[in-house]
Amino acid sequence: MTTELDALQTTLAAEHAAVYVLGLIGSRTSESDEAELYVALRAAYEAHRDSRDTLVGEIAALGETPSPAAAAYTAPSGLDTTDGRYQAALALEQACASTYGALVGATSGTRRVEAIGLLNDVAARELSFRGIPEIFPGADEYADR
Amino acid sequence: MPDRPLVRRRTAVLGLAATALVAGCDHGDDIGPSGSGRPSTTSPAVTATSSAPAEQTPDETLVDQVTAELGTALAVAINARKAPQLRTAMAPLVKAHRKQLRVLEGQLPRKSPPRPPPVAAVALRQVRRGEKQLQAALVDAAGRAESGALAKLLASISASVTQFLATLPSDVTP
Repeated sequence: MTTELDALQTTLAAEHAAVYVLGLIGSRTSESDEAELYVALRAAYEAHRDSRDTLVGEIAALGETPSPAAAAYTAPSGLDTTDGRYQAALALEQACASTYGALVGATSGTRRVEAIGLLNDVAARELSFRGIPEIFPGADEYADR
Repeated sequence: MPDRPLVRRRTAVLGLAATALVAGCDHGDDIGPSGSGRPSTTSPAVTATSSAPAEQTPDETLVDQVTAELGTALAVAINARKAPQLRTAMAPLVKAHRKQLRVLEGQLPRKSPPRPPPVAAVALRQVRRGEKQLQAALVDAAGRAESGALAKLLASISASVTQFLATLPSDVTP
């Protein structure tokens, strides 16, 4: 059984990775030639950075040590094209949606409300990376039913 | 208790749905079954009580409320789909709500009597209003669910509605 703390730590690990990977994708994106993607990446980066910082505070407030970021993360493939950068960012946000879905299921009260907000926010951001509406974002286990 | 499985709604409701509705529901008409729902999450003990339904749990009541909201939103989207200008935009929303209702074991709306197509702009406003209301209900229900699995499912559907709301046409040409 996943505890609330486990879920918070897992989500924090995902946020560390998201901040790193979005920064990497952003570094390969032209602010002038790919303005739409750049703006979307910046918004996503800031959202994940804020979420990461919030989680660090919440975990510390529980008397636990927040999971540290890894030294580096595996870069997504295909970052040498605009389409590839869109795809990588979308895949990242979809993965985060799954993490937030799990967080919703493992929490209660205020933390669950926050997790629901994170899931809704990331679902909206997916659209800025050429995502299309899904039937069960963050809960893929229902997709084939 | 976040990790408790989904709870099945009153089996009397399920029995009624199973006998009253025909099989197969992705064929595009407005009548469909409630579907098989959440078979993997139903405990044998609950199923065994089908002939004498017990009092609803809070989560069962929550699911009933959400499926009622979802059914209403689906009916509004189906009506809007009759407007030629909205047919393409409404198709994925109708499909999504059908599937979401099926997973929640809700009943699909009955086929309405033939009526002339709605005015597209009016129908679009109704869809937007209905989806916003549904989204708020789902977020609220996800926050109140006792079962973590149910909370996750409801939150996921609320996120889906968020996405559809963001992609609805901003306007329609008359």
